[in-house]
Amino acid sequence: MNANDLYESFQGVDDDTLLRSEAKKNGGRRFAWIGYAAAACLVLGASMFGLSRLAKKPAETQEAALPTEQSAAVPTEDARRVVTGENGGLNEFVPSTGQRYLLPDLEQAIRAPENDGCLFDVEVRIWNYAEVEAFVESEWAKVTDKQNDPAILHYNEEYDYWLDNIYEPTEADLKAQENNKGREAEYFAAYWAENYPQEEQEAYSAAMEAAKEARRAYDASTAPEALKPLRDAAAARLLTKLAEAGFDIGQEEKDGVIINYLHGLLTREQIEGFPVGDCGAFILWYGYNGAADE
Amino acid sequence: MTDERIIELYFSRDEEALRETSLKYGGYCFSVAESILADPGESEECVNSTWFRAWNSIPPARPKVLKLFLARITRSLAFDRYRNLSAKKRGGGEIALVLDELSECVGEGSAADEAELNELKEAVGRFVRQLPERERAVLVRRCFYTESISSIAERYGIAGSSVMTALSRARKKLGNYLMKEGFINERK
Repeated sequence: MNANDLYESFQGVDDDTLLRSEAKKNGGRRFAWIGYAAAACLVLGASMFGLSRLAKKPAETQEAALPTEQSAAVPTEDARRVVTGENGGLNEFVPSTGQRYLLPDLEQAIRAPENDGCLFDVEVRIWNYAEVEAFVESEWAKVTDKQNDPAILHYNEEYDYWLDNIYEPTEADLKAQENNKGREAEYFAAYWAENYPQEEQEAYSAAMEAAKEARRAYDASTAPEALKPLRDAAAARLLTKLAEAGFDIGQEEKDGVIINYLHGLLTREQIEGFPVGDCGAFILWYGYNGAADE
Repeated sequence: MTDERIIELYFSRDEEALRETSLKYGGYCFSVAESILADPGESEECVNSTWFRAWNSIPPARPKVLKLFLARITRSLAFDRYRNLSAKKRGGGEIALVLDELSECVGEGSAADEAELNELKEAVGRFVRQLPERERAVLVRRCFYTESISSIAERYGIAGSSVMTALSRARKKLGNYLMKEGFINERK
């Protein structure tokens, strides 16, 4: 990965964040615009939704057998219309734990009066399980614990002192700093090796090695493949919970390591009330290709 | 004309959609392209390509916010164009500075493949959402819109040094986050 990739990846910033960043200064209170912009977004979103209902594009439909288990919200006819749809691009969204996000077009379709009582053929992408997130955080805490070793903190303090009181940069050094290519850390390492007691240097080296080892352990324990069993277990629990609540939904076999893909025929109420207590869910039409933004 | 109406024109394959889009968002898209390309002729071509791409994307896409849908397309096209320009023609410009700043986070690795890039987009989206307000706003203006430090300072009514400090903090956090998420091993 390089700087070009990182620059390109800012395409992944969500619409709300981009909209908020468009606001300009507002009187004396700096950044007070954030709240106003958020409110404006809500109003805009609500009005867009209202208008788009007036211009509803008919969704494709087909007949399908009822799911075997029924929730209280599911009507009792033998067969019901199944609504399918096509996903557009540029709607990628990563919900955090406890967040449920519906594709705007799907949201319109489930609320359209002509689709009352229908089933919707949807895919639900599940990720950011609270349990997995907590595990990753606890693993990361082990790394920071090592990084905060007194020997490392001492080194950092000495480095700061050297930077402020001893270091005398040349013109070339200052120029390099402006271009983010400063070599201060390198200079201090040499100064440290030359001027500090052997025992301090050894303690620092040992602490740094332990921190690197902790980091390697973290990389191994939190690699997508390593976390997969934890994610799958969480997904299995969620599926059991959904089945008990009458959701006709199962896990889709895809090559996702980080995301669990579910597919099923859900009612409007089930989609709107999809239980996302300990995970994040992105609900979209089944058959999403997800590649339309390039 | 409202965005909803313009989008309906796209859906009914009415070419009026292109005229209305150009009228409403031509200037905006031009500024997005120009901040990357710093060449009015190239930027104009890029904006024209944006309309073509939008026409081919809607439907099936139904943008939630048309302006941002177009901004993303323009940004992507302009950056592709920038990379294809010869080094001499690229010149310095704001984009060169932004890329240099970002290289501080990731070093000089080889280009990511498409799958990695998609994962990276998701990760950057998540990262930006969790930043404090000021850092989030200035980072987005700098790295998505490629705005200059002075423009960002003017936009938010803060000092240029405050913008640089916020950017520096955000980049440092981004580097740490990318390490934590396994995208990079060690920062340079």
